[in-house]
Amino acid sequence: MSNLEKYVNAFVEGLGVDKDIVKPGLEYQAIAEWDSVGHMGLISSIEETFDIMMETDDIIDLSSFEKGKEILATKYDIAF
Amino acid sequence: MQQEFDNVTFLVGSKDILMQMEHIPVLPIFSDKVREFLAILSDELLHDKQAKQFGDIMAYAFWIRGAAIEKVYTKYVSETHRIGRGIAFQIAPSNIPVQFAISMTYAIISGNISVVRVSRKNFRQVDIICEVIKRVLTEKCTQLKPYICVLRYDHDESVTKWLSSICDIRMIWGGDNTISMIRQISIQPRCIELGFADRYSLAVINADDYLKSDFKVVAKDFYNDTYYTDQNACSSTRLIIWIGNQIEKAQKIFWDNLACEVNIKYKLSEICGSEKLLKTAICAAKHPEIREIRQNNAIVRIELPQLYDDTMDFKGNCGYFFEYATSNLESIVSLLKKDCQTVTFLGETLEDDIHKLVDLYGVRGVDRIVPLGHSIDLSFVWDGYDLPITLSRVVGNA
Repeated sequence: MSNLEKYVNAFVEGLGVDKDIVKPGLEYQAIAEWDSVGHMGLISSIEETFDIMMETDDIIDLSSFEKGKEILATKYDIAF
Repeated sequence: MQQEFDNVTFLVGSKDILMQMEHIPVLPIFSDKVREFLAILSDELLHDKQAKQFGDIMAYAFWIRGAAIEKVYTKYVSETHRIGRGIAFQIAPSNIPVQFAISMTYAIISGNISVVRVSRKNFRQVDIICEVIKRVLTEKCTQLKPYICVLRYDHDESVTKWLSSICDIRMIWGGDNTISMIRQISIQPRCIELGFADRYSLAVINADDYLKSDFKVVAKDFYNDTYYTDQNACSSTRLIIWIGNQIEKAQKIFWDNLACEVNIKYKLSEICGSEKLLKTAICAAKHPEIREIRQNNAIVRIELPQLYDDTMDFKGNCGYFFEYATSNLESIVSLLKKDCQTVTFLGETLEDDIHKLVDLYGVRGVDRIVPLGHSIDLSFVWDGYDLPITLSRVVGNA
């Protein structure tokens, strides 16, 4: 599985949503499942997927599907 | 002595498990079994439909998530030959629903067998977490089943007496009265006891630094530190110390922004509203020179012309704040007494400045100095105890 596929899966698992809606343009608070509570499930899922522990600032900054990729790529050496 | 358990409800565990606890081996601190259990519990809670309705359950679940526990573990990995002390009997408080689970986490991560008595108040959060713990213990972590009991019972001193007679650690979360009542009941000579009593907390804000910050973010942070728990937590800010040059300007912006946040999120109960009136009346009877500023009923500010020794005797809840402006940070030393738990700060040099005060004056209080917005963060160091160390014992070699 590619990192992108893993990343998409982390959203599906973490937020409990369909794969179809996990794509560029998806933003925090834009869907009911991705609220502040869902965000914690998502972060936990991303951390588990890539075996990392995210810094608090990054957890707060992860505000969209695209932004998450950028954070993982620049700060956690995960290539997409 | 044959102990009766007729009036005991087991939310997790059973009478048989409880009776066997004295014979169960302790574990090393941060054992594989416990780390695995916490990671699964976190995952299950974060995805549980009912749990998701409660921010406090989610915050707990997020705290014990796999990656976070592994990170904490790295701090303790050099602690070899450190194992649990035995049975940790814990009495949970009646004002913070998830505290029982936090306490259990401290107990088991330190290698102990955990028995928690929860409050008689029926919090939904307690039932939800216990259901999930039971499920995880039954389906995935059966090896830990003998290590965890959560129980509830009415005024049955015989159960407390029996548990106190077999435990190796007794942890009491609660008011001073609860603690002193339970202290009447004896424990084994080598048992250690920790009392997590009522404390108060304060914030120090540098007005000039505040004016350079994002006002909305600060309002959200301060809301989380205070209104989120109705100021019921020991770590909730009761008093704000303002320092710097532009205090009046900062105060106006600060309280206006907080009011926006409070108006959207907070529902003030009528009882709280009238209690606040009463608090001010009592405080003013003793100190007539105080000034009350009522932003609206949900935000009541009491301006103090000086710091009284008994200021905290008048502390209130649900949006009740003392304020004091000073040009000299050293004037707050009189507040840093035994009962003072957390000092939150907003200001570039304040963290260092406050640490220096603590060291210079050797004050008896202040167990945490954290940035504003982080007062309710969960931590394995609490009330001045490094809990995985305090709750375990080391097998020495010298």
